[in-house]
Amino acid sequence: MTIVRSGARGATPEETFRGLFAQHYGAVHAYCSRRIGRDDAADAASEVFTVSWRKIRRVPREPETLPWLYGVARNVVANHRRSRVRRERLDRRVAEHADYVWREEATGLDSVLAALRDDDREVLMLVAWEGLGPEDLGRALGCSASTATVRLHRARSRLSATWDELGGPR
Amino acid sequence: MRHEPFDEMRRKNPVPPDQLPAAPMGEAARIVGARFVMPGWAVAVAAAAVVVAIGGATLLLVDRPDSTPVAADTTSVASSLPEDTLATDAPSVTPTTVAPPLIGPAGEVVVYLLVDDPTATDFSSQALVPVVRSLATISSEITDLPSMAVAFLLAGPTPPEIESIPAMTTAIPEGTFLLDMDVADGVATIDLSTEFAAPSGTFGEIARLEQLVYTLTRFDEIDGIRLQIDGVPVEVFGGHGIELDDPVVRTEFDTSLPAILIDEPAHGATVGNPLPASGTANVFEASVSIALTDADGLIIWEGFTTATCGTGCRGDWSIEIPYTVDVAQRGSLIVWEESARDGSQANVREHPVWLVPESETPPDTTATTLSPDEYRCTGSLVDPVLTDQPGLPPANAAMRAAIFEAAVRCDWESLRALQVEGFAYSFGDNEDAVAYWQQLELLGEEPMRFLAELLNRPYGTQPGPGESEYYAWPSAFVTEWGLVAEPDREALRPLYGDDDFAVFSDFGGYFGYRVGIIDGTWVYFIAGD
Repeated sequence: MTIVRSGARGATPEETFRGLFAQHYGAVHAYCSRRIGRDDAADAASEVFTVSWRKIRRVPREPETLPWLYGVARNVVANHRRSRVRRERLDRRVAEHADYVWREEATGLDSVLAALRDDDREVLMLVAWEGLGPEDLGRALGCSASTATVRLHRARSRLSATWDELGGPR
Repeated sequence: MRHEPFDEMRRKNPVPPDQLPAAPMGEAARIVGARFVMPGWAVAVAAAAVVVAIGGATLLLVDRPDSTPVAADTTSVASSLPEDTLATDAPSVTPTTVAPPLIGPAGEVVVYLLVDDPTATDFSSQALVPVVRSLATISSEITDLPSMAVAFLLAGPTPPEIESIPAMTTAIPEGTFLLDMDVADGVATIDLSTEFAAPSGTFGEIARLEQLVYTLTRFDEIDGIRLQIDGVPVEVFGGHGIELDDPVVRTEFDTSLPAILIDEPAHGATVGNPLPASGTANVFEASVSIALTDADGLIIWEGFTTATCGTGCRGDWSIEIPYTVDVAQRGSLIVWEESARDGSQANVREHPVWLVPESETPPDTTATTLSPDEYRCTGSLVDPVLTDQPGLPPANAAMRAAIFEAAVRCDWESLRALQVEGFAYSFGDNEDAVAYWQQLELLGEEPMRFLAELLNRPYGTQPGPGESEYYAWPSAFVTEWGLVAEPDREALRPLYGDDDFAVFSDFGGYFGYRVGIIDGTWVYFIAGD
């Protein structure tokens, strides 16, 4: 026996939620970890799933679930960054690029990424790190696959340009 | 060759895809449980209700009275009804819908909690104590009692138990969730969320295993357990490396046993007449002294029995105690070891029990219905003055007044009479709105207060079928949260506060309690999305 109801009556919201939590927690945690660091990733991931539980009836079915969660995570991460910046201002320790914390040690790549626009950087990360294809990229960004492809192309161009500009390693 | 920065980026993935963390399912349970901000106790009960929903039945846990003996004011139990075993069944005109008893004479399961007890062992200052959980069904048979017992166990002690002297506690970490359980060939394979393995002191970790093992092996069909955490079988448990046998059985664990354990009857149980008592003991010369007292604290039976082993080894004891009482009442079963040195009482254990007159064994659970005025009534907290709301169609105004009137008095029968078929009050499977509200009231929620208070808040309208319009209280319900005017939003206080507003804002709309009337007909009183 299991504690969840199954079969004829279809999944309850709780079942649906537990299912998506079990399947996607790792990916969402990693998403947050890549952007705001491991220390805050668990909190942020919890927040993402709390939001998705509130909206459980509107969460899209597979395979659109994870890209949708990335969309939620983007907002949660942005909030975390904002509150961190506020906190750091209060501490009078406003570090340069304080809002980009994936740099555990500064490399050429990091300064290049930090110099990019937020939306370009997000497109690049979603493809390079989350491994999204055009369809899922569109879902995560809330646009069509072809628009997403165009945005990726432009972001890559600007990445290369910034790379050259800042004298990144060849 | 040009070093492509995008490829460089791929290579420097801070969290490579093969290094994703596992999902902590207890966190999922917490998120689900936190949906409507409820006290932890009520959340746990809600989890218990999920378990029971398997059988299509509904469960109610009634707070236990504290463990201090009741004074003589037992007049409210003039009937054969112990207040411990009150059921959820609404005072219905068709009592035939009441389900038959399922376990024990009064519909009870037992969980093992911990109680402060310096006599427990040389190491532990807490002793296992079996405690009764009453249950009653509304609709159909409960098929899976072990899961329900676990759900109750995970819920921990009730507020009165926490406040009782000595206080009851649990070593099971908060937030532990039952993921799955299977009983086959005398072994319960139980899968709990990671919280169960949260590190604590050695005795805390042993004690939580003991609570689980004793609770499950109390069922005849379960001799031992196999523990899994998040689906992974556990061979070594906890931060202190407790090796687990396969299966884990009771005899492996006696760290938290008191010198004398009363296993039967459980703390707060309704007992038969005569009273069967049994347990284990490790006492001088295996001699266990026993007394039974009535509601006035007078001894109505006294004697002793001998355990199968003693003076340094633990043996079993059991005895059947004859007694006579005129009416059902709360008494106490007290056991102790008579000191070999001076004859004083040592290692005393006391279980409050419900005694019943001989002729009334076992108690009839069809009688375990509360009378309407025994339910908690949060409607009575509301100022009973209904402010006039100009602009309401007369039929709707009349219905509003009638609901308000009934809500402030918790006049259950009037509330029932005001509903029509199809009335919406829950997203669950309940068939009786009044029983549902009574249950919520008993669980510490305040549906009647909200019903009455909301009717004194501004209303809004939504288009209904044809020319009709739904009139909804509060007005915040009829628009998107972002468009709710400030006075309408502020009118929700103090029922809802800033935290709730943030949740509504995230969600995009108010989804707290709301009341709906159309063409003079009451159509809903519901919360949630």
